[in-house]
Amino acid sequence: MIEARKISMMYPNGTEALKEVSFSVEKGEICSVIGPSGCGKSTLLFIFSGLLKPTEGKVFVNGKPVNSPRKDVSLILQDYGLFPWKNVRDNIAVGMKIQGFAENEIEKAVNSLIKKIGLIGFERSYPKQLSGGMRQRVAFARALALKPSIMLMDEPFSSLDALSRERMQDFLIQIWKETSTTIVLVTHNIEEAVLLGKKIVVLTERPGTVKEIVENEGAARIEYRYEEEYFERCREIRRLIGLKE
Amino acid sequence: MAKNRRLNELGRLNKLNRLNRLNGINGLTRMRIRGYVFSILVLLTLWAVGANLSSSPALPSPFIVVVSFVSDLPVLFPHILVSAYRVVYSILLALSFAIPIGLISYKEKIDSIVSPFVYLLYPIPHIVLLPIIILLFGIGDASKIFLISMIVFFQILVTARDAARNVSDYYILSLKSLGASEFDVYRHVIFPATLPKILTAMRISIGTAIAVLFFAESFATSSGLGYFILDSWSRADYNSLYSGIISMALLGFSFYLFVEFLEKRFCGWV
Repeated sequence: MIEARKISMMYPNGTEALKEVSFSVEKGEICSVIGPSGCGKSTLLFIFSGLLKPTEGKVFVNGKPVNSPRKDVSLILQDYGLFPWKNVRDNIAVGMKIQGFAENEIEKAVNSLIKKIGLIGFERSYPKQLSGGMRQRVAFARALALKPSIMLMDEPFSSLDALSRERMQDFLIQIWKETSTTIVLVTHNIEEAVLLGKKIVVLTERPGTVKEIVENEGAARIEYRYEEEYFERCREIRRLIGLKE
Repeated sequence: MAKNRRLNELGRLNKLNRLNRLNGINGLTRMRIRGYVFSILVLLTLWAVGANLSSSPALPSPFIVVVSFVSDLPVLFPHILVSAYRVVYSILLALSFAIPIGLISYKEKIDSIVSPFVYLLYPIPHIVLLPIIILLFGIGDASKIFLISMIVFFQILVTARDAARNVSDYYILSLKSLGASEFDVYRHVIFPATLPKILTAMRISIGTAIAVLFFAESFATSSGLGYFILDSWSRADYNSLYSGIISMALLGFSFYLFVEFLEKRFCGWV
């Protein structure tokens, strides 16, 4: 379980990114965080991951305050965060290597992940030789390699075309069903937030504060895209964000 | 169905990728070799024509030079070894200081200490320090190696430092989110990210190192290619003079090829 208690973030240059943000994410839940650009969504993830310290407030994971990156939390950055100088295999393995797993254990895990993401034959390719969707899958594999109990994702699908984007959303749902990882997903795409998030946190413009938390029980199912409830939720979020119908 | 189609598509992409890579490498290598052969022929022809036109003993024809180079080899060989030893030692010494100092400069705090030193010391023409270096280190190998490595050190340091400063925080954060230590950041991000620039700097340094080597070997020594060249010159033995020059050129060329090999091996991602 993740709990944000009154998080405020003021950057040294005076930019106020977040103001008293509080919400919690249940274990095994997917939570979408949506808001206009520049509302501090990415900052929020950095704080959750322990890479940034909030100026005020605290984040608790399983009841313990977060002060530095945790081993059981994986962060997937915008544009995937892959290293251009490492091939697919080494990009997936890097997290396990850092955390000191044995070589044969890494080998086994990486092989099964490459199979899972359908990139057999691309082990030695570099990120720039892959399509956007493939890179995204490598980033997933790298995060999954550490068997995290929490995955934080920053605009994971924003640079994909519409078709790959839907495929990757389905892929994410499938991963979530298999692993029941807790996922916090930051997005500025309303349909994506509604499709994936069982809980949708709507943030205001900068400094980001929680405008509303919308429960969205039907989410995280591929079929949800075609259901009336899904469209209804999308309209609701659109209204909340302040877009005219 | 959909899954099958995707697998098929992946398979095709995969095969294409591999084919491309194979053809690409073979095709490229073949073109490269053709390019080298062509340029060598053109240079030799120009040389031969020039030698014929000038008919001066200071510009013998390439054919004579090759013959004398081969017959000089037994005498040349120890000199080549000494020179190679001095250059390799100097470059390794320079790298072992320049790379670590350059890399740790990615941190603002360290850079604020390192940078002023670099800006004050780099623009000095270090080669004019030779007399002082000889006074301090004597006329043996130590002074030559010190001079060459000092010059190469600054060239590599400036490049490594600039490259490390330019590594995006994005990659460092990405690694740190995986629980990386400070050492992991150097190992997985800073070093591999700066390696292409460092190797480029090395390529440039090789030319400088050999030029400085010639200068350092030009007096107070009786070994090395610099000595061999100047000695042949003073004896007006033009054929040996050319043998020495060619040896020096080949020395530089072989280092150059070695760096290119390193680039191919470790920087395939660029």
